[in-house]
Amino acid sequence: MTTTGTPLTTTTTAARTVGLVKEYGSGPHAVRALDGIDVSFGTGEFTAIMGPSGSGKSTLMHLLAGLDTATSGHVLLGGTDLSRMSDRELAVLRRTRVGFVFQAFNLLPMLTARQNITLPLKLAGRRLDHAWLDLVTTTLGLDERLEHRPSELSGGQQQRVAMARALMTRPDVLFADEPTGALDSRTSAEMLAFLRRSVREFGQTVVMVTHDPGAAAAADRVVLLRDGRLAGELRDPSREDVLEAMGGLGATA
Amino acid sequence: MTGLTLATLRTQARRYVGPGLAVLLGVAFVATTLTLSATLTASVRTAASGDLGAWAAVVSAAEGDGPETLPESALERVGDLPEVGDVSAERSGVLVHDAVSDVFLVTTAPADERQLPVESGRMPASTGEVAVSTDVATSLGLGVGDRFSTPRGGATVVGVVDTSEDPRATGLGTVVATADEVTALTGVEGWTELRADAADGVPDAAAVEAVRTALGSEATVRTGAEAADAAVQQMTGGRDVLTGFLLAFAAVALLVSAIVIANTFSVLLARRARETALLRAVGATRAQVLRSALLEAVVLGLGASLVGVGVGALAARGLAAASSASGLGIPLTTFTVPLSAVVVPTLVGVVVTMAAALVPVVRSARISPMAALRPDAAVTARSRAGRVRIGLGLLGVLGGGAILAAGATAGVLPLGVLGGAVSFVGVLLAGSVLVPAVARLVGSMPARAAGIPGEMALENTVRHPARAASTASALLVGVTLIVMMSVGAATGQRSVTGSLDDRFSVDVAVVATSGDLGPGVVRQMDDIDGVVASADLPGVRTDVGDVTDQQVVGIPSSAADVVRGDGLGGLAPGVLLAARESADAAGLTDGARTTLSVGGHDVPLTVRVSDDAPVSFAVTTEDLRTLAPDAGTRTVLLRLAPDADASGAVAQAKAVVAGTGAAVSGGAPMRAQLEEVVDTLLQVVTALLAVSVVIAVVGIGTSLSLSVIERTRELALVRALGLTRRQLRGMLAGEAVLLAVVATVVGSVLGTVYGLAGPMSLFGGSVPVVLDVPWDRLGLVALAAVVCGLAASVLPARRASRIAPAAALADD
Repeated sequence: MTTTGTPLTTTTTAARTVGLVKEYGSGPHAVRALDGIDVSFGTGEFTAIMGPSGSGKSTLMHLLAGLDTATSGHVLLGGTDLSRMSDRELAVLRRTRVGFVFQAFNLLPMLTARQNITLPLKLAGRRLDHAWLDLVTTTLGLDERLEHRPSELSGGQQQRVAMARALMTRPDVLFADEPTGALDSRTSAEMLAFLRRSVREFGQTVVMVTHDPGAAAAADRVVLLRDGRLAGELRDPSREDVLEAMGGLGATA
Repeated sequence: MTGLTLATLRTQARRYVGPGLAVLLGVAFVATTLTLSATLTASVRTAASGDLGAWAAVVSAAEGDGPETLPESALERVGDLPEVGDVSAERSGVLVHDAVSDVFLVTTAPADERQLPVESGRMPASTGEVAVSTDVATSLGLGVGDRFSTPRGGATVVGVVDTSEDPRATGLGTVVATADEVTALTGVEGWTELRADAADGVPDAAAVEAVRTALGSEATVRTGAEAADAAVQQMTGGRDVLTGFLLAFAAVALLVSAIVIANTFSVLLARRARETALLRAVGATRAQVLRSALLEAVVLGLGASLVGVGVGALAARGLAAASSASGLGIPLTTFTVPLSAVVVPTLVGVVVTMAAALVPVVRSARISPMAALRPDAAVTARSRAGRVRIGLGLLGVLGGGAILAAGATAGVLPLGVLGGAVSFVGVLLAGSVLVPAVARLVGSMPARAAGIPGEMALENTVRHPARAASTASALLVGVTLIVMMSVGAATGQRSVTGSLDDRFSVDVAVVATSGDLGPGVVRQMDDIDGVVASADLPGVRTDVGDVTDQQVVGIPSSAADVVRGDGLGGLAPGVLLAARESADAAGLTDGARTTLSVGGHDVPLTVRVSDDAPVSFAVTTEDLRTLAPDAGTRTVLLRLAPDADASGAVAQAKAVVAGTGAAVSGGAPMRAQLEEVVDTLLQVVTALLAVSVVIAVVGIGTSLSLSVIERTRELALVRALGLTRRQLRGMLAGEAVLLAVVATVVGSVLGTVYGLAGPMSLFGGSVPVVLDVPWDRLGLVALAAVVCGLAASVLPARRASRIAPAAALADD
């Protein structure tokens, strides 16, 4: 248990799924990646999604973030049903209401850090809130590195630039897909600390997919998945709690 | 998004050098063509109209049945008008000079004598004096003080003038004389043309109107500008064949550029697929991705086009200068870059770039945003249309081939062209099957011989069938067209030569126009290279039937070896063999009886009219001796070996009789002329198509360099595993050469088929077509392709050999 803040009580829901099903392929060879998931993510809460390989955790995130469309069921993001949206509407949703941090390859190599950070705003044709940019980049310790290209930044700096980009639009939910996967342990800890700060200081809702129990322990809540179904959840877990729960799923972390 | 596009262009500038160069060359071609065309038009105007445009009014005799010149009094009537200032009058006519069967223009001096600079002597000042142009002086061997004699009398040469700046002299030798002397030499009276200036303070239009009123219906009055337009029209025939001809080749170059651009963009965008996916993941719509990539194409197209226009204008300037310096044709002195030569090529360049980039751009925008999340997956944009494309391609090859065969057998040219085009498009579409197959066919043997690098080169080439196909296609276009032109020209020439031999019964006929040829000439003719038989024909001039002073020759029995076919059929003692048109002119019919008389000797003869007779009128040598016992040789007939150099033989024959006025005719001169025209045309066409080949080579280089960037880790791995730098370079050179050879092989096969089908469709059975493959030329094309391939691999190979083996282990 590494959390120091008071656990937040969920009063409103930032994102929710209802009977969510995702199948790949069709006919007898169809693979059911998600098999009826009902789960909610509270506003201002830091949730980690865990599960063994093939449990459907990445698919769940893709559907929540509007990167992919469901076979059946619904994804509700702040009251909007994503399952009826066109490709264009999903693109607009991604740049205005969702933020992303990936494991690797988060940044466009030809753009500077500042240009990468402001990209979603440019795409949306929205005005840049300079005060917000300053606050976010200062909080993330990036204010000195804004005119550098990704190739001139360290791995941790690159991930923080990706985080700053994700925060720029004040999204309903910030999705992080194995954000610490490509980082060493010290940089991982730093990254998780920044994620926590964004939850605490900006009230940001964060949903993180990870297979690292240490990373999951930084979350307020851990949702466990197995074979495309929910397999329990933990509140304010410690690393050991997570390891034990994972063991119960029959998987090694 | 504009910022993103510009950032991409800036940071990846080197990758755009290849496609940029392809656009640049294509656009430069168009710009050169348009600039040259404008320069030519302006120069033609200067050459054809001289100072015509500067006069207010240009007056000539009214068109129609009336006199061809203005009356003598017109000069005074126009000159006396108060609205008219200076008036210049021209009297000119044509003089046919019998001795050299040449036509001269005899004219008064122009108002502005600077148009006719005097080289030596002076301008004629009175009757009995003339000045001649330099070409007349040379051909007649005249100098100042010599007598210029003509059938209508003569005059003393008082000067030699340079007519190169005189618009009226084009093509004709010029003789300058006073008005009265022009009348004496040509019989022309009155004025050919009057040019009038407006008096001070009088508008040109008023002067034109005054002249019109004064001369009435007997004259045509035009403004100077109208007269200049008419002169240009007359000189060019009003058609602009050259521009169309050049633009056709510019279009080929642009087509090749488009293939290169499409290819480069698909590689570039495939390589950027993950970046595109990331853009989509952070919320770029498909339309935004599409627009950004298209903007990239526009910026590239615009930049390259603008440079291309500059290069094109410079090239046109250089060509114009070179053409003026060489003294051929019209001096391109009035260099002009019209607005159209800037705007049109630029637009064309931008549109071609965009159009070529469209398919790869649309394909890349289809990528799923999730592709950005898979860190290790090799992301490539896929083409679903592959099978449809190949199907359509095969259909095109078969269907086009059938249409082509039909067009060739039936001799319908448009059908042949359609079939050729359809089948070629089919080959391009089916390229992703054809190119790897041919690559394996021609590459496997040498690849095995070259060891590991060779085998790897072959596998790399066939690994991306679509990319290999489109890279080879660019070169295929140029090679096919060059081979088609070469085979077509050789085949057409050989076929036509065959039919010329059938049509002309004599290869070379040397005919004296006055006097005898002399024994020296006869002997020298026998020594000409390629002559296998000759016959000396004595001749006399006498009246035949209704026509006077005709050449009648005696045919010796040795002529049978010289004259082909049935030309002399029917000739026997007591027979006058007459060529059809000569018999018609003389009013003689087949079987008629006539008597020839020379100096008191009479010979009665029976007329035989022949369609194939090699000379106008012929009798046996015996009959001719009876008629004129002392007749000298008037005509020499030569038979050339079938493989003789006709052009050379004709040139030698002409050299032998130079200055004697004898004419050289027959089938060989026609063949020589044909050879010369075809060879020149072929050289020009090959040079023009070479531009598209250069673009294609740039394409191969670009494609290879992109694949080097793409394969950095793989290349580093093979280096780490022990491939030497040299072997690596060899491997890349092998890839480039293999593609070039594949394009050459396919292009040569296609080109040969088209080159055979072309003449067949064109001649439509009127001439039996004999296939002639110019192997030396094809060999040159193949050699050029290999060299081009090697050249294209130099830069990519250098870059590849700089990759450190350790890069295999690093992340990208």
